[in-house]
Amino acid sequence: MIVASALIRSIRIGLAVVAAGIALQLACALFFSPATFVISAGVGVPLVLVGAFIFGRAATRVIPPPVVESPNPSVPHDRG
Amino acid sequence: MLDLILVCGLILCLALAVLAWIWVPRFALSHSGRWLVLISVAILPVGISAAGLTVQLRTSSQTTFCLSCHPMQEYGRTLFVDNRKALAAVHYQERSIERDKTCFACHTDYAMFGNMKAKLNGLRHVWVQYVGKVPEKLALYQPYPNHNCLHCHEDARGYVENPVHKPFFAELSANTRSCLQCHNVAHDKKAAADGHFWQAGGGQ
Repeated sequence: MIVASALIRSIRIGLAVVAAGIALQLACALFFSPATFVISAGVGVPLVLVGAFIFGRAATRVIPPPVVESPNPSVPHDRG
Repeated sequence: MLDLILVCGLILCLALAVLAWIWVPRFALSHSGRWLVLISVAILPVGISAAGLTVQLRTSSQTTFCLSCHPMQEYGRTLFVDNRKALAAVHYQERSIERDKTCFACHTDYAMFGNMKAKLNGLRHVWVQYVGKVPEKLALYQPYPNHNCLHCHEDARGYVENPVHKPFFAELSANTRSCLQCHNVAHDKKAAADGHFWQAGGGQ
């Protein structure tokens, strides 16, 4: 299980990696040459795949329901 | 046109990724929000990247791409020389090959993984161009295989009916005799250096 803040952080890391890969591919597409083609295919595309994997791994984890706190700590709230 | 679509798609993906990054806390914890993030993080960027890679692989087979490296430019000029025995020139000028794929048409293996092998060799070219040292005399990695010629010529009338070819059909098919033993001028670099070029309409 994963807590919500950790899920958000993982998604943001995935998004940042994907955005870096897309930005790199965009720059390479705008200044296309043999070198930028290799950079795009060898770095940009793998970055997108890695970002998508990070997101996928985080998103498939289960988030536990929020804990309901009892007003009186000595009396468990789930006993009638 | 495909390049423009690709650039627009990449810009859209980038914008979606940035928006999703900002709004993650709102979306990530709901079911529909997660779908939205899944589309912006995984499905769309991976799809656009795959499409972009396909477009760029196709572009990397084009003549202009090959000739964008300086050492290849003198080979590019040999396409225009006035020499009917120079293979590159005659194929180009007779329009026997697609002009957009002039280099690739002859310098790829017409076999399984032939394209991949050509691309890997191209990777070595890029490395040499930008990082290594370009050798003074360029050479093929292996002797030129006949099946690259026969891929187009094997059932061509000019090849089949030519009496000079007939005694050597078996040897040529078995690659034990090279086509280049007789057709031994692939690129006429001397004529290109001397400026002996053919011009369409020049003889009229």
